[in-house]
This record gives sequence, C-alpha cells and structure tokens, in this order.
Amino acid sequence: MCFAADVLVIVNQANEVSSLDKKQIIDLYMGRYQNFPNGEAAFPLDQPPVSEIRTIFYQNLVNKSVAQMNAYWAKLLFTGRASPPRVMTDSLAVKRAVRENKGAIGYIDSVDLDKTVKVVGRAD
Amino acid sequence: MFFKIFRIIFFANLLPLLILADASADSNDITDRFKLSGFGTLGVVSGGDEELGFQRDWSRGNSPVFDEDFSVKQDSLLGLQLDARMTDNLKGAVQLIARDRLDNSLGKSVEWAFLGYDLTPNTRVRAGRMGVDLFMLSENRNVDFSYLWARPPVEFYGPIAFDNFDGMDMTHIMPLWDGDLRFKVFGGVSKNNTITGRTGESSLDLKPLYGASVIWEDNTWLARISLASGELDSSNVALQPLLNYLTLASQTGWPEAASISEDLELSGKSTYYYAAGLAYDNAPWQVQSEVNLIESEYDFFLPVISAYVSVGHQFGPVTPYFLAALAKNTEDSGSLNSAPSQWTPLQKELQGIKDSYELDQKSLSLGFRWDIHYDLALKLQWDHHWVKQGGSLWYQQTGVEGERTLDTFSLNLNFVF
Repeated sequence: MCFAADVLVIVNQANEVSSLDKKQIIDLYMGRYQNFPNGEAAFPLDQPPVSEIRTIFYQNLVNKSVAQMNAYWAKLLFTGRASPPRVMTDSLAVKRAVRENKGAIGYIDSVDLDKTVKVVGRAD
Repeated sequence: MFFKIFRIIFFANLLPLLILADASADSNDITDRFKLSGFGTLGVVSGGDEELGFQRDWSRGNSPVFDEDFSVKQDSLLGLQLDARMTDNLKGAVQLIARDRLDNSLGKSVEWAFLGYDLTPNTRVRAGRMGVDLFMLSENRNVDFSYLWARPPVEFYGPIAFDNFDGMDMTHIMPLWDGDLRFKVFGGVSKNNTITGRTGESSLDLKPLYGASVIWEDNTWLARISLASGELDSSNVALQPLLNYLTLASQTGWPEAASISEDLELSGKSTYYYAAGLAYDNAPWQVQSEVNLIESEYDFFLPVISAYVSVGHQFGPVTPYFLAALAKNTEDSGSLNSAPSQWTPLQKELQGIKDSYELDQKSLSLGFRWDIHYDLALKLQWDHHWVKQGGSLWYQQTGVEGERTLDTFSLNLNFVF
C-alpha cells in the first residue's frame, strides 16, 4: 500500500524520540523550535527545492508552496532567528545523513523506507 | 562600548571563516559551521511630483524621485549574510547590505553582527548589532522577497529611519493553545541614522533604545503587540545658523524665540512607539494589518497614528493584492505667535519647518507578486496617494500647501540565495 503522497518523517535509530505529532514536526520544519521534545538538538533535512516530495510535504504539513516556504524562511534566516533545513540531493542522501547523525530528521516517500532509519511520524 | 562589542563579534565571526574556509568539506557532516546566504532586489520606481520626492523611508532621502522620473536607487539592494555555528547553543551572524545611502561606510553597511546563546532550548540571549523588533516587518523590511508587496507600506514604515541597534535582546518561547507565545525584550543604542528633511541632513541617535514585544502565532494566525522607547540625540549642522538667529532674536525684541530654540533641540527628548498587528496566512488568502502610534517629546514631531490592511489571494504562482494605508497626526502643528516685523522672515521659516513635519496621508495600492521560481519573485505595484498638509513622508526642499494626489509605480525583482 504505497502512494506517492505517503510522506514519512524519519530519524536516526539511536534517537530516543519515538513519535512526533504534526505540530512537533511543523515546529522543527518551521524553525520555531531547534530541539526535539526531549531537548536534544535537531537538524532538519530538506529534499531538493524542485522535487515532488518537497512540494507534497509542505502542502500536507502547512498548506504552503515551496516558494511560499522560501519567503517564510527568508524572514527567519535574515532576521537571525533560525536557519532553514539543510537541503540534500535526494532521498538516498536524506537517509544516509539520518543514519550518520543522531540529531538528524528527514522526510522520504514511503517507497524509499528501509530498516536503517526510524519512522516517527508522517505528513498527511 | 557597544561598538567595541560589535567589532569583537564582527571579527570573531569573520576571521574563523577566513582560516577555516575549507574545513567543512565532509559531505556527511550536516552541522555546517558556516553558511553564506543572501538576498536582493532589482527595482525601478517612478513617482513624486515637482515638489514632493518619493522615498521608501526617511533614510532614503539620498535619491528621491521627483516628477514621475524613474529611479533604480530607492529599492535596489544586495544583502549577504554569514551564519556561524560554534556549538549547538552558540551561534552568530553577520549581515552586510549594499544599497544607496548617504554614508556608505563599512560600519553603516553592517546590518547585523551578533552572537546568540541558548540559555535553555526555549530562551536565547543575543548581543551585538541586531534588528529592532518594532513592527511586523521592521527586522526584514530590506528582505523584499519575504513579503507580498514591493516594499513595506510607506505610510507605516516610512517614518522609521533606523533598522538596527547595538545592544542585547532576550527571547523566550512557550507553547500556548495550538501555537506558540514569544516574548522579547531588547535594549541598546541605535546610532548614526541619517535622515534628510527640510532642516537639512541630520544624524539621529536613539540612546538608549529599549522595548518589548509579545507575539503569538500558529500556522495561520500571527498576533503581536510591541512597545519601544528611545531618547533622541542628534547633530544637525544645517540647523546651526537658524539657532544663531533665534538667539539673536530672543535678545532683540522676540523673547519667544528662546523657547522655540529649545523646542528645536532634539537631544534629550524621548520618543515612544506602540504597535499591534494581526496576520492571517492560509492559502489562498493572505491578510495582514497593523496599527501604531508614535509620540515624542520633540514638539516638531507631532504624534502620528498609522495603519494599513492588506488582502492577497493566491492563484497558483501569482498572488494579486490590495493594500490600504493611512498616516495622520493626532494634533496639528499650530501657529507660532507673530514676531516683531524684523523677525517675520525667521518666523515664517520656522513655521515652514513645523508644517513640513505634518502628516495626513492615505493610499490605496494594487499589485501582484509572481513567484517565477522558488527563489525569484517579480512584483508590480501601483500606489495612489492622497496627501493633505505637510507631506512629511516625501522628500521636500520647500514647503508645500494644499491637497494633492500622487501615483507611484514599482517593478521589482526579488531573489534569495
């Protein structure tokens, strides 16, 4: 049962966080909080700006286009409040970074899921 | 002292970059130590008439646009920002902005340079040069890509001639209902803000400048209130001959001249800002409104209330919008008592200065923002202004009388990288 729009939020297997609700995911991806609910520093990862998964992720999460998210981030970044998620080249790179960094958090299409990462939520 | 702190922070951020520029080559390391980003606008604006020159705000009197001429200097700018991450808790940033200004020294080009430390995951203190969190857009007013319009509404943001201050701030964030509540307090000095007006070029300081803001936001709503106060300090060389005449007049038949001379003195007088704002952002609608009151102990700056409301509706990548704004003094400048005949020209000149600070203006704007690409937006905007009295938001060399209408046309290309 895999749909293109089934977007999973993943973290490192060693991350103590077991699940994140929609608000907690939004908090991290909108730069409101820079830490997981347990206080550990979080490093959100983004998919490429021109990718279907990024469009769907933000559409589902906050009902905004990639361009609108960019305008939102321009405000946060250039007023010194927070830095936008680091952009990775594709889902493989997202998974690799999540595997290798305990604080990383990313999102991938459910078809790309494997056992090396832990699912903590979904954007639907 | 603040300048020293700022210098230390500036070099603390820049020097390690030069030394460690190629130290973050490991592609698997997602915690970049340094990140360079930027923003800019290529904009052309046409507006003004023979006497009133269009200016984006009081700090842009360097290149006013008269008589429906064109200018690329009012809106065009380029910003560069270097973010540094020393540890998970200690971060810093330096932002430089190149734009048309009277004093284009490196010192004035440094928009921000600060270090921030997270005391707890929800509490951050910063020190250095930072934006003044006065209104909804006062910290990002130069980042045109971050909002809908060609520029922040002139009626609201025009009288704010300062962008930054050197000092400290502290922010605390906590969850409330479905959103988050953010408190901020700040204090410091805002120095060397050059403004131009009827009395020539002045360098305006606010020292001290302090204030607080409370913001609540969730995914669609943002509500904020803020207040700030600053003590004015100014040096205006062009005013000196006038002050000399006033001294002479007070000794030769016009005693009232002495108190007018005191009224003209900016230094030591306080100014107060009170503001509230509300924004609703839920595709396809984008609605935003703010209201503020500025008061001052300086008699020549009359209390002014300003407000705007903007409504935008998204159609795919294009968002047309409508904007209505007004700025109005809550009292008028009043007339000076008549002077003895030999001092009548001086009295007239002073009355002219007083009147030039008057403000009673409304405007309606129509425009659209077209997100051509995720990092590139094009904006087209038409403003129609009704200007009564003074016209102090405009650049003027001579006094103006009566009502008039003016149109402003803007074409902007905004980008981020």
